[in-house]
Amino acid sequence: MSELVRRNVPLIITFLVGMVMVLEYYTVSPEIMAVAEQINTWRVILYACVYLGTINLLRLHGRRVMRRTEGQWYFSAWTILIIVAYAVLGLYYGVESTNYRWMMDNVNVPLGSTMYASLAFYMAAGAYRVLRARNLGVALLLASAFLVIMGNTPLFPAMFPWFAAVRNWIFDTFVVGSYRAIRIGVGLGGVALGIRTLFGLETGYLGRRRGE
Amino acid sequence: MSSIFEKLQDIPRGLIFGLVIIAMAYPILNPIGLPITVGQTSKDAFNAVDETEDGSFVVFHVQYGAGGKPTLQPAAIAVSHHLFQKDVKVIYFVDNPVDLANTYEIFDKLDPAKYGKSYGEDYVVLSLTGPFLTQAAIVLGNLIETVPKDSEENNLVDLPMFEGYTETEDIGLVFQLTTSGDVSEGWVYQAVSRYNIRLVGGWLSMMTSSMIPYYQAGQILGFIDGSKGAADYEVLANHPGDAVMITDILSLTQLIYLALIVVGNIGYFGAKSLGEGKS
Amino acid sequence: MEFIRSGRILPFVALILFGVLMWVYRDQAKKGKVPWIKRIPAFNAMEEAVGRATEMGKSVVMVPGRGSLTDLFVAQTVAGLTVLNYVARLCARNSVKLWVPMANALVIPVARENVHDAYAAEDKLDEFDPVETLPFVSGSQFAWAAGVIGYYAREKPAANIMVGPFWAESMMLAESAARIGAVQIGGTARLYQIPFFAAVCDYVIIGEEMFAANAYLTRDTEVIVSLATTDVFRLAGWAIIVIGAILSTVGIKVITELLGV
Repeated sequence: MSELVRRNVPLIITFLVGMVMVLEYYTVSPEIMAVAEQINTWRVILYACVYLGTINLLRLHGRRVMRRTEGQWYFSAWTILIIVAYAVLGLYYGVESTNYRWMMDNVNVPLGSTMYASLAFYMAAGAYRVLRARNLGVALLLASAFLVIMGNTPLFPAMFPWFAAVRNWIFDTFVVGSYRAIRIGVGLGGVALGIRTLFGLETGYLGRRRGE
Repeated sequence: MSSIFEKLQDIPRGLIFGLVIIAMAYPILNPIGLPITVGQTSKDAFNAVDETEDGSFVVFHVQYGAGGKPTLQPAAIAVSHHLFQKDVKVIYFVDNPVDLANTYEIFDKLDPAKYGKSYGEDYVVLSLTGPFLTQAAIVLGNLIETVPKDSEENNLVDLPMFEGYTETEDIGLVFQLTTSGDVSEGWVYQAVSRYNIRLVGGWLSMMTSSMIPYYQAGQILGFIDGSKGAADYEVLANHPGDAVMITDILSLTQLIYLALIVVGNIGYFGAKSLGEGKS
Repeated sequence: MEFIRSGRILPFVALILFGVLMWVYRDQAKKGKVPWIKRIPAFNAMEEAVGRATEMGKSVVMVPGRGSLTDLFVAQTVAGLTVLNYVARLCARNSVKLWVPMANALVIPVARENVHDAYAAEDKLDEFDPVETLPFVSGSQFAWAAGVIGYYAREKPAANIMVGPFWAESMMLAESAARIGAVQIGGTARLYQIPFFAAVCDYVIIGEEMFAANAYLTRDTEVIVSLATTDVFRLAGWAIIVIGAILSTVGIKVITELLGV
């Protein structure tokens, strides 16, 4: 594929599709809205790419099984078995069936809940390791974290209501204020990135610099 | 002496995790019943539900999946208790199989028949797919035309609760329980900005700081702030359940966090004052 | 007949002004007046992190987040891919093993092309194995997190660079990588996760800084001018907030009404 096609065709497509979606958001034009609707419909076709993930998994783990990669091949064999089992059961019984839902409810849901619950342990270890008053910045972080944790703990506000007031004050001033500032910045940054992408000035995600 | 400060700075992770496990397990095995003070935001949420007009519809969006279930399922049960005590019709709406299972589990724990409520007459469960904003627009603005069947394959038009349903005007409240910030903000755009429908929210505690501006602006009438908010609602609805038990766990585990932070700093400053240790 | 949607006229005008201002800055940049931008320590640290991995003979993990190219977080995913390209080039140059755990199938082809080009630019295509370097770990949030944490535990990478959209798994990844002593650079524009990265990572990229990754990493003048334009609009926003707050306090709602146009 020539460099011209490889480099410029994606940028032209990005510009045309992007301009249609931008104009659809701002303007009242039935023609533009119709084109935008078609683009949204065709976007669904991209979801066919979900199979890329499965193919990738099977290639990676299949390779490990065939090569008997030390310490890993049996895990890879198990992964392939589970992928196939879920796929067969889902296709045969249907994803709304009792059998498939039993597997989701008794395997996926507890596993997901367990991983989410493990966050508590990571938070404990992280808070213990990080919140040391090494300098002024961390000391301020430590002080505010302490007050907020105490305000969040049901026990302290029940005993001393002012804990809740302090926590709310920290939230209403510092936290909300800084979140709003970051949000404004993120919005502006996103707009700038969007305009750069639209006009082909941002090509880092395509893996090449302009002119290379 | 110096080795004590070094050890305090470097408590093994196994010990930290063990303390957290004990803090979590003890209240489950031996409920303590530590005091709870109901927060203002939970009171506002309760009042907003309480003030919903009799005969109106309430859209209840259940979207917390497996990860948010321990935190928000108790809230969903408490709110459902409250709603079923009132003369309102509830449209439960989900967008994935896990939340569909969560919703039916609410009914298992709640027993709507106890309140004289029956499926199809007083409540229904809809299972939608697609982008969230589209789903919300459909449920609020164009339900009967766009969603022919409920999650049990009944035709919506055949269900007694939708007899005479006039879409948006009949919806008195939207109640959302979600772990997604984009969904919780999306409801503000769809329900409040677009259709001027009253909105109450429920989410994880870490999302509160981002959603507070909407509450301060009056767009969200009240909210359930994670496990503590769920416990508050259980107390207000007079149905203490898992969330109230969880507050004991919350109190103990957060005490452990505070103790660990204090110990770590004692170790740090102790070692520093002796001229050694980690920086 | 209405052409611009009601309530979106001011944003539309602002967007056009944004584009015009960018073009003005671009013209000035061509004449040699390039706006100055400060270096973000986190981007400096990426080269050091890869250097550390080279010395230790260990791998570099670069996580571009769990976003897709069709959801609300596409801007963050694009920023993550930009950083991926940079890190991939550094790894190729130093012959360091790179591992990029993918969580979204739609992003895989783009990321692969991205890393392939990076290796090609360094003339190291023979060292690039797309299946091993960019494996699809899982589409499920915590299954993916478990897979990444497992890699940290087994391979003990020297550097962990996370730039993109993250959810609850951010704390898990950061803490797990901290446990194995990896140098960590974390960046996201998802507000809920920024505090975790800020607390745990050695270097942090907060919010919009990641959208400026291309400018910081390549010093491309055409990209730098968009940063300057963003700063002008930020100052304008600040002025509108202050003036609007003062006027609203005294009962003059002109700014509030103007913003609703």
